[in-house]
Amino acid sequence: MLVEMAGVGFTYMPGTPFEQVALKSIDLSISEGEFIGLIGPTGSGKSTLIQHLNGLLTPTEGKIIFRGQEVGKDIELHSAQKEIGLVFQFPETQLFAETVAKDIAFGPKNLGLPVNEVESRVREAIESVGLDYRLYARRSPFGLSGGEKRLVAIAGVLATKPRLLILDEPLSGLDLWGKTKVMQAISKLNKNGAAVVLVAHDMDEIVEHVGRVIVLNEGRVALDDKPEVVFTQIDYLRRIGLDVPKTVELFIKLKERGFDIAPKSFNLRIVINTVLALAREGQCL
Amino acid sequence: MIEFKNVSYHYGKEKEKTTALKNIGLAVNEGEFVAILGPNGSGKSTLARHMNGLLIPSQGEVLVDGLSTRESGVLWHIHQQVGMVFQNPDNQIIATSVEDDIAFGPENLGLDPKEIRERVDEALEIVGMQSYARHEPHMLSGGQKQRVAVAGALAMRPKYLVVDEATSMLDPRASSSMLESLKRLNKDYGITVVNITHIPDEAVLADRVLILFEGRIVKDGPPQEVFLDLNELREVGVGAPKARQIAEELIASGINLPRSILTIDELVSDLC
Repeated sequence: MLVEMAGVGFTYMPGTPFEQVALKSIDLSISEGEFIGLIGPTGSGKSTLIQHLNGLLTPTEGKIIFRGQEVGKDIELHSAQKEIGLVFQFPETQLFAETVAKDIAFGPKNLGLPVNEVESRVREAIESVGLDYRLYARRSPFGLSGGEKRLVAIAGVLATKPRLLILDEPLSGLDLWGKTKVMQAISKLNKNGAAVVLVAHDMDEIVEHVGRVIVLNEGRVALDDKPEVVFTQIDYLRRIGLDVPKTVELFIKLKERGFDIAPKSFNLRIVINTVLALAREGQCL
Repeated sequence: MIEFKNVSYHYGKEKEKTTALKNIGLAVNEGEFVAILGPNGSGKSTLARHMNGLLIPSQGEVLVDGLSTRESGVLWHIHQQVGMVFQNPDNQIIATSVEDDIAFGPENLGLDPKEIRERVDEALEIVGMQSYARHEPHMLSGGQKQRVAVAGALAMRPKYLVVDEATSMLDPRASSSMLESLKRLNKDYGITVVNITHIPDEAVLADRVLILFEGRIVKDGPPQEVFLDLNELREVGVGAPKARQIAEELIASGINLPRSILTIDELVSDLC
């Protein structure tokens, strides 16, 4: 187990008139190499939860366990933080250095790595987000397009080689090109063994990539299962302000028309194949 | 009518000049619901900011009901006619209560307090936020704030409403209720709506879709037409509505479906 949250609760400004409970008895664990989608309506506690995962917030109740050791007790917070990367919403607003390479080097330098290791990590990180090192390394990050800036900001976190990468709405505001590049970079990192927690509003993106969906509502884990299980709870999801992927909507509507279907997944490719099989059996059309 | 006559716009000085709009010719007619799609940096927001004179063309001119945004004497009138709502609601709300915030525009028009009250109540009702009149804006959710921003624009009784990526920071429910509000403003109140977005599924709700690429309008027509050739769209960095994408894949595998499918409902009824 990579990270575990055991009975975690968090209250903002406890003991003041502004006291607000954001998380309530959260129990969840993240294994190496998992790809998790974290969804929930506005104000459900998503941002508070991910800030616990990398120790930006410490729980007011319960504990965070990293590789079996309790953070803050058995191990220091910073030793867990080294392996957990967090990409905030609109991370491009945090770019600061005069070149792309210097910006990305900031993280690995702070880990105290030797110069040549820092250099090779910067090169690797730039390439892994699909940008050409020779074309981008010496450019100012401020002259790049919105999508390119986002990629550079993500590369900055990738350069620290996290074992768990958490991304808060990494696709919001990006166009088709930017979304494709960012998702490719995240998938590649996951294929190379890092666990990923993706916070997103776009259910179509979630269903294409993740193997597990955690639904947060009013500070609690409401659902935690495979996407094909979670997304069939359509009434519940809509009631709390979420939606389902378009592929799920298609299935539900076909079912309403009396077609006998039970897809293995709501991934676009599989849904298309299922509909094709249906058509070939003569059920549809 | 909002009319663009051969409009070009450059940012920056001579040496580092970048051209954001190139020879735009466009007429947005009264009563239309127009969606403008395009990749990052295609000039969408620059185009939107020309519609109410926040930006003035480097070349050419923009006419709002026949008045040029170049004439500083009429700009005040144009600002009233063309309301704008931006991406981030937190940057658009200024007062300490919802009703004060909405009253800000009408107050600046020097209107009678009774008239202001009427306009505020009406605007709140249209966006469905009556029960929040006395609330503090910063305590509202993102979607509610965005509706307050729309109400603020409506209290000016604009003929046109330009909405720049107003759903991109909202959760699914908030963004669909925002879109419903826009649709209602257009259908029931006759307000011309221009919705700038990068979400193809949002553009499906419009009567007319424009696609912007590198500062030019490369497509302009009803959504069924604009989303016909998906390869062409991909080349200009624009995706397709999900249902259209699924239909295209099925067509490629030999299923006989029309290329005008834009929603899951249409797809289902054509499949069955």
